[in-house]
Amino acid sequence: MNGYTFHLTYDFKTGLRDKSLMLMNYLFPLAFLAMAGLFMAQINPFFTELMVPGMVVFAVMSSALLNLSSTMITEREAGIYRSYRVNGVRAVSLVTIPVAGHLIHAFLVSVIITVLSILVFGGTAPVHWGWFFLVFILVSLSLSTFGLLIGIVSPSQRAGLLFAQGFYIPSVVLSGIMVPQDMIPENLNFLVSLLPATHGIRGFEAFAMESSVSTYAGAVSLAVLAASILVNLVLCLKLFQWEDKSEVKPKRFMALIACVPFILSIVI
Amino acid sequence: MSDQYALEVRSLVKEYGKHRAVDNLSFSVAKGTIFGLLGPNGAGKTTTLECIEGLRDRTSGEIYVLGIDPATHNGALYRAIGVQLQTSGIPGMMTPRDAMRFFGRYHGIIPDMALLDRFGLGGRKDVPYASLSVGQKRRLSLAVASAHSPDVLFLDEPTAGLDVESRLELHALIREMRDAGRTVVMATHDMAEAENLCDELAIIIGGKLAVIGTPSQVTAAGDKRTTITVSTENGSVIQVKPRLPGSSLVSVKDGYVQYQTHDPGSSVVKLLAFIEEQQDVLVDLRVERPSLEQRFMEITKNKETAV
Repeated sequence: MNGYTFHLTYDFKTGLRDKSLMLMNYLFPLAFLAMAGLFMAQINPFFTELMVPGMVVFAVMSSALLNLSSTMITEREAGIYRSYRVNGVRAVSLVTIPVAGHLIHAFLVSVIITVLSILVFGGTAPVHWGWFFLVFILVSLSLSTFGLLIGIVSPSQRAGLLFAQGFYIPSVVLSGIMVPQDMIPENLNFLVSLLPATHGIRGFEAFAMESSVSTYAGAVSLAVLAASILVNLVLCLKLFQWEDKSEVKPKRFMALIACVPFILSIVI
Repeated sequence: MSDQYALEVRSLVKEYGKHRAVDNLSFSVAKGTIFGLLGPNGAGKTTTLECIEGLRDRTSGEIYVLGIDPATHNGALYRAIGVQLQTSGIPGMMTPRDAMRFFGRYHGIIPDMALLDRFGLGGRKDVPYASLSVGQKRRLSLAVASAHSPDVLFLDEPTAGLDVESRLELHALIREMRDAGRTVVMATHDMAEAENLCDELAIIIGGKLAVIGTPSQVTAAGDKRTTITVSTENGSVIQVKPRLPGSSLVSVKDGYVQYQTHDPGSSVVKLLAFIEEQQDVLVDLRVERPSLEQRFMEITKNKETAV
C-alpha cells in the first residue's frame, strides 16, 4: 500500500471513528430522513416521489458543504498541512483524498437512505438504477469539490461556515429536496440554477425516476455537474494553501469561476 | 557545493514586504555535526530554517541541502531530510503508530515501530495524538522526522515546553542521531542546550549573522573575564572584601562574594591566602568561565546599542 492509498484508507476510517464526522456523514442525514419520512409525507403528498433523490442529495450535501470545508480549515489552521508537506505529501493528495473519502461515505449513507426510504417510509424507488448511480456520483463529486473549494478559500472557520451555509440553506429550501422544483417561484430560477443540488435533483428526476422533467433538461444538468467537478478540482489545486499565514495572498475571487458552469446552464 | 557540507547558505535574504527578516546570511554546516541557530525571539531563526526547508520562498541568495536547491526540488528534498517544525500538527485522532505508518508510506518505507519505544512512546503507541502530553507530541514529531533515516534533520525549538527530564532524554536522542552520522540543524533560544549539544553554532540577531563558531570559540570571542564566587564560615571575605589582582568586585549576596577577573589563577591563590590569614574556613569556591548565555547577552546588548 503506497502513501496515497494508506492516506485514503486512514481518511475513510477517521470518518467512522471521529464523532463529529460520523454525526455529519451519517447520523444527521438519517435523523433528517426519519423526520421527513414521518412528517413531510403527510404535509406534502408529492414528497414520497422525491424522497429517495431528495434525501440522498441532502445527505451528500450536508457532509460535503458542512464537513469537508470545516475539516480542511481546521487542519490548515492546526498546522497539519505543514507537517504533511515536509513529509512529502502533495497538494493533489490533500484535494483528491477528502473527495474520494467523501464519495465512499456518501455512497454508504445513500444506500441506507435509499433502503429505508423505500421500505420504511414508502418512498418511490428509482426506475433506472444505473442512471441513479451515475447521477449520484456526479452530484456527490460536484458537491464535495465545491465544499473543499469553500474550505480552501475561506480565511477562517467563521467565514467558511458563512460561505457553506450561504449555499446549504437555499439548497435545502429551493433545490427540490423538500418541495418539487416546479413549485418553486419562477423569479427564483436564477438563484435555483446556481445550486449544485438543483442539478442533482433534476438529473435524478430526468434519468432515474419516472417524472415529467425532460431528458434534455436532465442532460444539461448532468453536463453542468460534470463541468463543475472539473472546474472545482482545478480551482482547488490552483488556490490550495498549505498554511494560514501564507506570504502569497490567495486570489480568492477566482473561486467565483466555480459558478460559471451553473450560469451557463441558465443561458443554455 | 562542497561534498563535506550538508548545508550551504549563501547571502540569504528574506523580506516580508518592507521588513527584511533575514539579511545576507551565509553559513555552512559540516556533515555529521549538530549545528545550532541561536537568537532572540524574532531574530529570523525560524524564517531561515523555513527557507532552507522549502516552506518559504527566499527573496535572494542560494541554499543547498545535500546539493539540492529547496526552492526548485521540493520532492527530492523531503526524501532526503527530516523536519520537526516549531508549529505543526498531526490529526488529533491519529495515534503514534498510525503516524509512523502514514508518513512512512509517503516516504516509501515500512517504519520500524521500535523507534517509538526508543523515543519513549512504547506505551502510548495507540493513544490519539490529541491525548498525548506536550513532551510526547514533541518526541513523536522527532520520531516521525527521523523514521525514514534522513541524512539531515531540521529541528525548530525541539525542547520548547518540555520538562527537565524530557529535555535531557531528547538531548541524548539528538546526540545519538549525530553519532549515527546524521547532520542535525536546530534552532533554539536555549543557550545551555546549544552549549551542551551543538558542535557549531551561529547567533543571529535582527536577521544578520552576529557570530559563528564552536561554542568554545563563540564564548571565548567575547568578554574573557572569569567569575569567582566564594563563601566562608566566618564571613571574613564579606567583611573585608579583599582586593584581588586584575579583579573587580561584582556582588555581595546571600553570604557569597563574587568577583570577575582576567587573572583567575593569581586571584584564587590570593583569595585562599587571605582566608587562611583571617583564620576563616572556606565553605564554597566556584571558578566559572563566561557561559554562552553571558556571551549571547553581551552580543545582543552590543547590537542593540549599535542600533
